[in-house]
Parts: sequence; C-alpha cells; structure tokens
Amino acid sequence: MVHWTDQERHAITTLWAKVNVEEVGAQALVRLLVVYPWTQRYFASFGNISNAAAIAGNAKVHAHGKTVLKSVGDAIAHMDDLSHAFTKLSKFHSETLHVDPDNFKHFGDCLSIVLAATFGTAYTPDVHAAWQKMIAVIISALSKQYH
Amino acid sequence: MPLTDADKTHVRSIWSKASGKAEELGAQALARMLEAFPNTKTYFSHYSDLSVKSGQVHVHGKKIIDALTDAVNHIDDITGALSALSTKHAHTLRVDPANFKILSHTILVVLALYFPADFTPEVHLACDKFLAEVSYALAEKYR
Repeated sequence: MVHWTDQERHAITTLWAKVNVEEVGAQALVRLLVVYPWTQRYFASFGNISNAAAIAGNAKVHAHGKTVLKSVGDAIAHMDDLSHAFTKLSKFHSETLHVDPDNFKHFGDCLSIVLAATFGTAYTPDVHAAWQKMIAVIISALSKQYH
Repeated sequence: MPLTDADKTHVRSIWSKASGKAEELGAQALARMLEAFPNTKTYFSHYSDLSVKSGQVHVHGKKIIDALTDAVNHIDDITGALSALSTKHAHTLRVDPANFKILSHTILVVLALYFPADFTPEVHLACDKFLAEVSYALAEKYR
C-alpha cells in the first residue's frame, strides 16, 4: 500500500480536476508515438502514423489517448489500492496486448511533459513531484501481473 | 540514433530561448529532480537547501544549462565539447550515469513548461535525442 501525504493527494486531485482528458490524453499519446517511434508497433491498426503530422491528425490516436487518460483518472480514484484495482488492466497489457512495460515509463514521461506544457507555473515543483509519484505508482500497478 | 539536420535545427531554435534564462531553467530542472526523484539527493548532501529558492541550486543549475549551451554550440562534436566534464563526472563526482536520464527528463519538463508553444512533439524528440547524446558523452570516461 502506498503512503500518500495530504499535500500529495491535494496536488494530484486538484490538478486532475482541471485536466481536459481528451486533450491531454491525445497530446501525451501523440508525443509517445513521435518521440519513441518504436511504440508504433502496438498501433498497426490505427492507419497512417508514418510521420509526426499524420500522428497528430490521426482520429484513432486521439480516441485512444482519451481512453488511456480515463484510466489515469480511475487510478487516481483508487490511489490507495491501485495494485488490486489494476489487476485486470495489468493482465490485459501483459497477456493480450503484450506491451513491453518499459513503454509505461515512456508514456509517463510524456504525460508529465504535457501537464507542464498545459499548466505552466501551476505545475510547481511540489505538484510535479506528486504527479511523478502517481505515475510511478500507476506504472508499478500496471507491471504487477507480468510473468 | 544520431541527430539529423532537422533535430539540430530544432535544438538550436529552442535553445536560443533557453540559454537566455539559464539560471531560472537550471534551478527549476535541478530542484525538480531533487524533489521528484529523492535518490538524486545523495549527491547533494553538502547543500543546505535543495529547493528551487536555494542560492546553491541556482548557481549549480546555471552551470548545467551553460554547459548544455556549450554542447549545443558544438552540436557536431558533443563528445569533444564535454570531454573535460566527462573526466570530472567519472573521476571526481562519480555520479551514477543512470541519473543522467533523470535530469534529462526534468530539463524536458522545464522546457515544456516555459516554452509550451515551441516545445512541439518534433522539438521534444530532438531534445530527447540531444540529451541522450550528452548523457552518453558524459559517461564516456567512466570505464
């Protein structure tokens, strides 16, 4: 079980309340596919993702970005028992999607960067640190069922 | 994964803005690394204040950004430009090279924070590659 301080809970939930899930999700996924192009291996069914412009304009990328960010919202809602709450999702990533867990970290980095670009100075060092912790906890929960 | 001409153009372009705010950006990147990734604090046990307000963090942050500016200005020979710094990190500072990735990440976060319109996905990619090359060059003399 993760120990969260009141400051961390506040930082995470307050910022989350202001996040446009569709916008932030799309931007984070676009960056994942552009900055770490080998991740495109998981999205062969998405159509044209052959260059940065195609990725940015791809409707399936946008839709999937929203799906992923919604799960981040679920994680926040279950932040006190995430390993348990994410059991099915972790198994799904391992046994069905066969995603290399290293990629979770790449997505987490992109998310932190998009939050910084979106919120600017409101993404203070304290808020940033709380979110890096949240991201690390999500990565750990998502990785848990791999064997 | 060498830097393409497009990468170099992107890095030079965003760095022309970043180099003018060296102290502020450097302090932010360093303070954020120390706060969000506490293992890195072990290298700064001699600092009395690790926050973004710390004079020590400001001085050191500026040094880091200035060194990166030097690397940008010698982007075709990053290894050469960082040779002395590599020796220093290897033999004097002995920072575990795994930490270079961590500071690289907080530098990217700070660039996104301060220059959101300029830090496009392509610029992000170019900077990520550039910082990876810098990290590699810094680790060259380790063993």
